[in-house]
Amino acid sequence: MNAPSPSVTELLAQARGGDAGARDAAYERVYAELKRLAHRELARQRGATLCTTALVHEAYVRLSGSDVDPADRRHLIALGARAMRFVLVDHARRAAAQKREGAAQALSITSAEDAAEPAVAASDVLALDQALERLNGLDARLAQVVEWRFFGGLSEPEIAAELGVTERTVQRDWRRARAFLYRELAETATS
Amino acid sequence: MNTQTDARWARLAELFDAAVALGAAERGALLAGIDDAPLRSELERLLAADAQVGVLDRPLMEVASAVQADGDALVGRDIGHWRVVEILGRGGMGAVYRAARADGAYTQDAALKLIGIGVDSQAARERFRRERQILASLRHPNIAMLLDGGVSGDGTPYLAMELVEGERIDTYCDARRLSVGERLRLMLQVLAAVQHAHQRLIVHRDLKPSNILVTADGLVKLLDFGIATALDVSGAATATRDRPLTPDYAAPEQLEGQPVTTATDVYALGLVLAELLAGPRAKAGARTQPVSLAAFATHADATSIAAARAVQPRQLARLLRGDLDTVVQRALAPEAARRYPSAAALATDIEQWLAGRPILARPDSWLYRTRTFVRRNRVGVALSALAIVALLAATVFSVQQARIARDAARDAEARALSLRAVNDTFDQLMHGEHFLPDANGPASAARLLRENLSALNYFLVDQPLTRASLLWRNGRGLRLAGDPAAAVAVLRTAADAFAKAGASATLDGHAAALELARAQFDSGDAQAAAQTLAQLEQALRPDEVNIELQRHAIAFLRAQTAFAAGELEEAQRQVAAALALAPAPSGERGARYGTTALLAGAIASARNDTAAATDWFVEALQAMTADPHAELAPPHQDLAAAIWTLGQLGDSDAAKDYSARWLDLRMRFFGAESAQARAAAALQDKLRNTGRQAIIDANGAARLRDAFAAYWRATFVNYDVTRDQKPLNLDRDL
Repeated sequence: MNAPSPSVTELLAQARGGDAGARDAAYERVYAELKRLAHRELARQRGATLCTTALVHEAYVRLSGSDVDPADRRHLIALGARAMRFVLVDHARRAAAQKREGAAQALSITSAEDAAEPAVAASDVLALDQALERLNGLDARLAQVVEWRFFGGLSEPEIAAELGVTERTVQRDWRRARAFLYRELAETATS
Repeated sequence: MNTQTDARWARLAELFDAAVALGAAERGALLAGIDDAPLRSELERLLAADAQVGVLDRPLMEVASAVQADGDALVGRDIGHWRVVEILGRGGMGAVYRAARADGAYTQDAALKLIGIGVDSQAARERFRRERQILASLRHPNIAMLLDGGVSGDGTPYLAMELVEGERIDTYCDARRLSVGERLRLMLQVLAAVQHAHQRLIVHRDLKPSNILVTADGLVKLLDFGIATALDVSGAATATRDRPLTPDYAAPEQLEGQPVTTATDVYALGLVLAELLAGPRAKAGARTQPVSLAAFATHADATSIAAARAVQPRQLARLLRGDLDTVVQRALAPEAARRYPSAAALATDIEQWLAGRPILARPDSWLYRTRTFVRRNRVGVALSALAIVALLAATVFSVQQARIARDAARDAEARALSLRAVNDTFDQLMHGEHFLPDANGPASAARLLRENLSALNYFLVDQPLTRASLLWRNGRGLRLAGDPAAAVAVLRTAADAFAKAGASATLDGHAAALELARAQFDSGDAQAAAQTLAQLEQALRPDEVNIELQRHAIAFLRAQTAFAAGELEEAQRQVAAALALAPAPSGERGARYGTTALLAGAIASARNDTAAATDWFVEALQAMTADPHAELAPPHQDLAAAIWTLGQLGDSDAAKDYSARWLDLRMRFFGAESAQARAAAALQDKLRNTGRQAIIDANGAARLRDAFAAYWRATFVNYDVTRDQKPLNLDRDL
C-alpha cells in the first residue's frame, strides 16, 4: 500500500534544506487547501471576514497541525495571494456566466429584447485579472507586487523583504502598476 | 515581450515616476518637453489613470463581497420570511436567488424569484396575492411547490419556490443515454404534473426543457407553473398577456396573440416530446417547418442522436415512424381544437404505445380535410354537419362494397377506420368548435344534434350496435345541450337497441340506461328516472365487469336526484349506499370516493349537520388530493371552496373574495371566446350561478349555510360521476 505521505511540516523542513521537489509538493498541497478554504469563505460569508493571512493560517494548521513557521510564513502568504486571486476570479467568472445564461432555475421570462444587465463587480475583477496578465508580460515584478498587495494583503515591508528590494521601490512599483492597470481597465471598458 | 516594448515601457515608467513627483505646473512643462507624441499621449493617459480610484483601492473583502453579490444589493437582505443567500440566475424581468428561512422557524432553502415589474397599485398587489393563493393549491410530486410569496418593501413581487437540484430533462436523457421507452416514461411524469395543474385551471404557458428538471433519482420537477399567469395579473397585464415568453416553444395561437388555453401547453409538450425523441429541431426555420419525427433520418446529427438513445440510427428511425409521429403531430396540430384535448389524453396514447397497443390518435384523414374544407367554405354549421354524416355514410357504404373485393383482414381494418371516424366526428361535434356556447347558444348545438339524428334514421340501419352507440352519444349531447326531453327519446331508442343486441352489449346498454335516467330526471320526470334505475338495478348480474362501479353509479344518481328534489333523508340513505360501494380511497379510485364523500358532505350540510358535513368534506379533500391522476376537474375547485367556506363561516368577506376569484378563473378558461369552451361546463356554471351568487352576497352564517346548500344542489344536479368512464368502445363491437 501507499507509504504515508510526509506531512507539510516535514516537506517544508526538507524544502528549507534545499529540496525543491519537497517545496513544490508542500506548496501544491497548501495551495489546494487554500483554494478550498477561499471558496468556502466566499460562498459562505461573501468575503465579509475574508483575510488571506487568516486563510493561510487555517490552511496550515489543518495540514500540519501546528502553527506556521515564521520562515515559511511569507512564502505561504504569497501562495495564499495566488489562491485568493484564482478563487476570486473563478467566482467572478461564474457570476458573469450566470448573469448571461441564467441558472437552471432562473426565471423563464427572459425574452429576446430583455438583454441581461452588465455584471459590474464580476466584470471588474475579470478585467483586472486580464490586465494583470498583460502587466506580467511587460513587467513581472510589478504584477507580483499587485498580487501580493491586493490579493494577499501583504504590507509593503513584507513585499520588499520577499523581493529583496527597498520599500521605496515597492511603493514606486505599486504606483506604476496601479496606473497601468487603471489605464487598461478604462481602455477595455470603452473599447 | 520584445526588447523594443521593454525599452519603451522602461522609458515611460521613468517619465511617470518623475511626473508624479512634480506639481501640476511642472508636470505640464515636463509633458510639453516630450517630442515623441505617442509617448507623450501614453504618459498623459497613465497620469490620468493614476488620479483614479478603483477596485485596487478597495479592501479585498469588499471586492469579494461585491463579486459574490454580483452587483446585487439584495444578497444578505431579508425578503418576507426569507434571507437572500446568493444569486442563481437572472432574467430580463427578474432574478432568482437561493434563499433560506430568515425567521429560523425551520430550516428550508428555497428558490426566491423576484419579479422585476412594479405592482404599485393596491389592486395589482391584491391580484398578485390571490393568484399566488391559487398557485399554492398546486401540490404534486412533479411540480416544484410554491412555498411563499408576497410583495417586498420596495414593491417587488416575489415567489419562494421549492429549490430543485436537477438537470434539464433533455440533457438528463442524453447524459444517461436513455432509450425511447425510458424517455416516454419520463414524459408521463411531466404529463401527470401538467394534467394536475390543468384540472385546477392553471396553465403553464411556457413549458420548455429548461423548465422541466429531473432530479438525480429520476423524479421530474416542473418549474414555474403559473408564473406566467401570476405575471399577468400582477402588472403589465395587457402588455404581457398571452405573449409568448420564449418563442421557441410557443403555440401558433400564442404567436398570434390569441387567448391561451390548456391546449397551448399541449402544443409545447408536443415539441418537448419531439425533441426528447428525435433530437433538437433545427433552429432556423423551426417555426415555419412542420415538426416531424420522420424527418429524424435526415438530421445532420442522426448518428449521435441515436447513440444518445442507445440504438442505431436505423432502429431509431423505425421506432419514430408511424404511431409516435402521429402522437407528436396530433399534439402539434396548428388548430388548438385538433390537438389532444388534455395532457392526460396525450399520456394515454404514450401509455398505449408503451404497452404495444394501438394509439387513439390518427393522422389527419380525409374526414378532417373534408371538415376543414366545409368550414372554410362557410356552409351553415348544421348543414355542414349533415354533409359530414352523409359523407360518412357514403364511406360506410363504399366499405361495404369493397368487402366483396378485398380480403377479410383488410376489410376489418377499413371498417375499424370508418367507425373510428364516425366516433371521432361525434366527439368533435360534441366537444369541438361546433359546440360553442356562443351567440347561437346551446340551442344551436341541440339543433345540430337533432339534424344528425335525422340522418341516423336513414343510415347505418344494418349496423344496430354502431347506430345505438351514436344514438347514445347523441342523446347525451342533447341532454348536456339543455334539451333533456329530446334526449330521453333518443336514449330510450339507444337503450332498447342495446337490449335487443343482448349480452354482447350489456355494458353499453347499462351506460345508456344510466344516461336515460339522468335525462329523465333533468326533464323533470323523477318518477320515470327512478323506474329506469330500478330496471337497471334488476338487470345487473353479479358476475358483471365493474359491477360495484355500476351499483355505485346507480346509488350516486339516486342520491343526486333525491338531493336535488330536496328529499334529504332519502338522499342521505342513497349516498350512504354509494359510499359503501365506492372503492377504497387510494390511487386512481380516490377520485370516485372523494366525489361521493363530497356529495355526502353537501347533503349533510343541507341537513344542518355541520359536524358531519365538515368530516365528509375533509374526507373528500384527502381522498381527492391523494389521487394525482384524478379526472375530475371542477370538483377540486368546489372542494376548495367548500372546505374554505366551512372553515370560515363567520367571515363572509373572505368567502366573497374566494368565490369571486374562483369565478374569475373559470371565466378566464371557459370564456365564451375560447375555442376550447365546453358547453357542459357553461351549463353547469349557469346552474350554479344562483348558488354561487348567494354565497357571494351572504352576510350571516345562517344565510351562508342556505347559500351553501343551494350551491351544492346546483353542483350535483348535473354532476356525472361516470364521466371518466368510457362506456363505449366501437372497436370492441366489431
